[in-house]
Amino acid sequence: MYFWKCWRDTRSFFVVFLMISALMMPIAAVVCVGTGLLENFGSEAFRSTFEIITLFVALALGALGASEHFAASTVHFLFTKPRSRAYFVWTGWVVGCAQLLAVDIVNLAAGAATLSHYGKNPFHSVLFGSVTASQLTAALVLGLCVYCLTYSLTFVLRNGLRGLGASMAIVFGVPFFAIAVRWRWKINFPIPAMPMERLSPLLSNFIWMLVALLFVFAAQLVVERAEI
Amino acid sequence: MNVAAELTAVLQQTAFVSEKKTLYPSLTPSELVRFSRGFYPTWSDSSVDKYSRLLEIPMQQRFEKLSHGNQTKVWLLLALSQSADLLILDEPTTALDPISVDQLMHVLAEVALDRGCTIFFSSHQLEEVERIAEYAGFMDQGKLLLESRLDDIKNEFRLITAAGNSLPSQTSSQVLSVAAEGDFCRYFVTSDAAGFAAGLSRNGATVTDVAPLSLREIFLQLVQKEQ
Repeated sequence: MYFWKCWRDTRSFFVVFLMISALMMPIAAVVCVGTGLLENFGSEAFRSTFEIITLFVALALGALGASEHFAASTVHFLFTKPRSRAYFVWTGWVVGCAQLLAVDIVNLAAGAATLSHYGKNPFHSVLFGSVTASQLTAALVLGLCVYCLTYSLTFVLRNGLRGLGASMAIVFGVPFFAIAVRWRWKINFPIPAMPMERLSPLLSNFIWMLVALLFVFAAQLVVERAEI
Repeated sequence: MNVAAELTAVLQQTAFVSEKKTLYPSLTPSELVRFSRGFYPTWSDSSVDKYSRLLEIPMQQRFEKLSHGNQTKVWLLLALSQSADLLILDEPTTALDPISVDQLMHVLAEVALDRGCTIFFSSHQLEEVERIAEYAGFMDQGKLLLESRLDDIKNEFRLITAAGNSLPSQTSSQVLSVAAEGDFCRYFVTSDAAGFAAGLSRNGATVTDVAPLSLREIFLQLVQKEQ
């Protein structure tokens, strides 16, 4: 039943996200027909939109996951149900994760269909070359990290907006921090979606996925010990 | 039973009505029933029908649109329908009108008798406690002042009114308080009221009344003594 509750809480936002992800590329393509932009920048535009949509939907779904329980002060009702607190943390996470994946799949399908309609090689543009699977995977891993971070912070801070704010500060602050570290100490500070030093992209992505799950585990530990 | 280790099993047998009567604002009572049902193997849909009709709960109205009284009733409906062995009700009569309070007291008495479940409820309305409780405990600022069978509590405390000269005016472990009014003195006495009254008579006082006390009066006396 908690699946149903999570779905019910987020379905309206999910539908909006789906529509945005489905319509963005077709609308952009229609606007650009005849300008040559599609041939020169099409694949690059698609990759950028995919990354941006993944990032912002991950932030939004992460903040929405548990926010209603805290906003409506219903956590005491939820946590007196005969299930472990871990069950509630992970069920909400699974629902959000599935929605994020669905948005990305629709976005990918819409992008591929649109670009195929206007060109022979949908994932290749004259100026930027091809969009590779590893680039899309990196975007997905980044989305997963951002989603898990936001979801965990929402639980830990017991507030959707605070969770979102803290997560955005970290997501947009970490790249600047990494630049500062590299400039000052000549050390490559690891950033999700960027291959780690001396590691293959596959292993690097796998490690970042584990890190993302660790955020949720940390939130679970905090919630299990919290006085409600 | 290790409660920490078997928390899920304990929660399955425990129904809870919180002091904060907040629930998901956008859900209707019907949807809240649907949500709660899946958590409890002992859930009773016949109880839902029975108590929703008895308590006159508008089942299709969003929770946020319900009156405070109806919001409290929804909590009670969910708790009663779990068929739990233990009901913990924190201020269950909050915002209820006198008719609903009366209904609720009947329902709780019926549930306790029919199912043999234990009902643990806290209330500031001591008249309600007096009507249905078998055991009672008084708490003040987190401290348990007294806990016993209700009949024992009521038998233990007496208000003794006496008239005469040189009546004792000091409290003791037996006398919780003394109030002088003209030639009369009122003694709030715990344990052996008959012995205390006999002692007053032996000292020349006239004992005019030995009356039982309500729970409210007992509570006030105990709290005053603590302070």
